[in-house]
Amino acid sequence: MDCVDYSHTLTSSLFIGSFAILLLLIYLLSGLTQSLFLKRSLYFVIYTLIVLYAGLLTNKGNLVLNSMIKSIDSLNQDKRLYSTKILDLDTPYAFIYFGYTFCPDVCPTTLGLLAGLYKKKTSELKDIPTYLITLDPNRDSDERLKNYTSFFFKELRYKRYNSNDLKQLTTEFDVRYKVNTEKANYYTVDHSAFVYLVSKNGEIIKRFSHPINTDEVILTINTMQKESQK
Amino acid sequence: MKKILFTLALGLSLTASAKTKTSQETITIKNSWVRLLPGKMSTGAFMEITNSSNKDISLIKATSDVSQITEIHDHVNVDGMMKMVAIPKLSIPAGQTITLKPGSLHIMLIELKKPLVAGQKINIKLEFDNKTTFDLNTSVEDKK
Repeated sequence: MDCVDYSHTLTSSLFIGSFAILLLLIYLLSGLTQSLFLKRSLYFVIYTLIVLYAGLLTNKGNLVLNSMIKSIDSLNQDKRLYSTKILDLDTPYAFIYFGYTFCPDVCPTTLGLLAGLYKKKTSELKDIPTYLITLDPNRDSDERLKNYTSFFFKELRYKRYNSNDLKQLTTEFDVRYKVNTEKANYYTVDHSAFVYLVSKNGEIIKRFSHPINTDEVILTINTMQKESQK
Repeated sequence: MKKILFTLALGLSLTASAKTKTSQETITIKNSWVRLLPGKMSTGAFMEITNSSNKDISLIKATSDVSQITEIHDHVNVDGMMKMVAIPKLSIPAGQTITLKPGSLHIMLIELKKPLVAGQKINIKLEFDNKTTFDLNTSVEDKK
């Protein structure tokens, strides 16, 4: 499971690092010259750069910096695709989660976090439903899934696929799972626990690691909606 | 005067005995709750267990009236999958607090005898390896 996205931190440290090296070079250069005028000009350059950099760190500047970093990040992310025929969404975007209703802790934790998010950010998440795709179709009957999903939040829907479709989807989403049937009466399913943001046209836009960071989810939605308005 | 002195002495000794009793209570549990889930599915109990003694103490067993099986669980990430595992004991190091929380360590109430309802009081007996038992009175919460 990839847990931490380091690219953001990396890009900003590279930015700060290269800036520091630049300042150091100018300072060293000023040491080489004998001319007082040149020295003063170089000090002036250093001063201007520091002011500019401080400006970048303030609110507005930070936004510029963030959008620079984000555009680099989005270039790094390779887009994955899934088969739209199986999922067959009726909304432009949706969240997808692979789990099962007997899931004792991981699924309720994620669905609980999402429930809180839908409650808090109703307008942002309007028309973006969440689908629980069962990894345990043998035990998860439609009725069971219906009861389970309605318990969490009204925007939570479910999908129960035949083994072929489920196999294809889990392969495309790179979901790993293992049904532990050693115990007949009560068994668990080990599974990857990502939440995916997908588009109707078959794009896996983003994968959120377990436990999901709800701020990150909202930030992604806001950025995505801003971009689509352009 | 004698009477007053006697009362004072009694009061003091009572306070002293109460203090001794508290210091023996090495395990304290705070912020406990049981997650409400629909139907008779298994669910988790969460809490903060503090060991205020100078010796490590382990939680070795948990039992409850509401479930057929009660286990101490943790999550591990195996090949990118979240796997829930029963652990034989949960060590609470001397002077430390261990937090049992969703998606992490928890007490698993497996195969509930009856569906739970929000606000329901639940008793969980926690046994520790220092031969003490903690009777935890907690309640079911719908934390969504």
